[in-house]
Amino acid sequence: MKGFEERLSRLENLNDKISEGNIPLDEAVALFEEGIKLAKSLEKDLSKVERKVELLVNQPDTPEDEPNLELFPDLSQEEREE
Amino acid sequence: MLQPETRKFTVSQITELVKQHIEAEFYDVTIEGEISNFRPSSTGHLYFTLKDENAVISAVMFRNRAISLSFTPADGQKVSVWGNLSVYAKRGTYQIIAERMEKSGEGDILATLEERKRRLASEGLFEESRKRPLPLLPSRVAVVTSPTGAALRDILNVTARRNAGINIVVLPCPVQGEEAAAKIARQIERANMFQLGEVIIVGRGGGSLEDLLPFSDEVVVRAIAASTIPVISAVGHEIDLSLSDLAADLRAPTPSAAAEIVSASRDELLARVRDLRSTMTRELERRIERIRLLLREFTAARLERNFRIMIQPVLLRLDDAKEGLVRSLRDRLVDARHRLELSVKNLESASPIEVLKRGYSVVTDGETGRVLRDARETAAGKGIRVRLHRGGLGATVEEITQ
Repeated sequence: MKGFEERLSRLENLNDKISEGNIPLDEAVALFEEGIKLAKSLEKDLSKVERKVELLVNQPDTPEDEPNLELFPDLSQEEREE
Repeated sequence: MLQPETRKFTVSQITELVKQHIEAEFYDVTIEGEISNFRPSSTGHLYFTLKDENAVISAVMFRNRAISLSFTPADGQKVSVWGNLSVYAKRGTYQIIAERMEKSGEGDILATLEERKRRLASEGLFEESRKRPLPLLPSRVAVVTSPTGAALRDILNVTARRNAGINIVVLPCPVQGEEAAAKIARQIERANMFQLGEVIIVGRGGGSLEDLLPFSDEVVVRAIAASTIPVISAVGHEIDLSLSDLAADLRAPTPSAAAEIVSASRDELLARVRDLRSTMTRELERRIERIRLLLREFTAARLERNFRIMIQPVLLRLDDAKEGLVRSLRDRLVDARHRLELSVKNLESASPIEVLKRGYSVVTDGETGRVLRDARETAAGKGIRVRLHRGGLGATVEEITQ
């Protein structure tokens, strides 16, 4: 799937085209269907709630090195669960 | 010279003159000294005395100025105080009203920073045109800060509370002291090298001017300027300003604010997407409604009605024409009848009977019955007939006269 910004600007573009009103109706309906699909995928991206907090535990210095990420104890979430 | 008489004052008069003189003369001055007898009041004003080996001067810093102090004053501290001298007439004392105060030596640090700022600015490191836009919806944020500091705690709290679904990679580093600057810079470079986030937050909580110094270090400023990933600086409190703030793509007043910025966009974006969706839907519905209205014109009943509306004037004209035709025909008949009656009347008046009525007679030849108009048409002794209005006569001509 394309990036968020790209999809958002496509949605804005579709909206403009439909609003212009000088395209045939069947074309407008096709654009509308595409737009609704985009809006749904964007809303889905935006409603994502899970998150991960990681800590970089090594000091990789060249692009060949692998950054070593470990889960970071997310105190704020533990507090919230209590 | 002044006359003795003019050198006589009331206490108020002399105090007023002293006040005017001192306050005009000692406006916007800097006094260096050591704080003693420090007495913060419950209302937030700071009262203290500045002293050196040979003298003391009272000082006050009002609350509205005291809140912007970058350190907590204490007895024994050497400080520089900027302000204006003021005479308090009721007690006959004078004091300095402090506008700003900094620890001695801070002036040197500030001067160094100011020089560095100018130098880096002249290289274009703080140029507005260098600022990159922040990603609309970062899915991962790299945070360069102390793993145990208040800044990280605030950032994690805010992003958790906002339910922003943003992943966070913490790149740990000391945020004060000798080694901090180099390590902060290195972590910024690592975040770029391994693309550990779509945006980087660099920062720490508030602290003294010295504490915040690493964030004004040249290596940090250069690392931020060189970062291909957009950088949000979040150093100290709202009033603290570091050179990192100037080089960053966005300056957040606090680490919490930085976290709000990376999370906040989500709500706005959601509103924007929903807005687009509903305008798009409304627009299409409007178009369909318009077409439905257009189609309604083509029902049988409407067509018939429209047709009627169209031919109505024609029918009217036809009616008018018909009526006109009948009327003019009738008119002509009446006219003809009049003319007929008139003719009959004329004819009647031309009838010979009418002439006979008036006493004239018609004479005809007795044998041929021809009407006689000339005496020579008959002769004496010949028979004639005379027609009168009533009846006739048979007669014989006796004489011809000419």
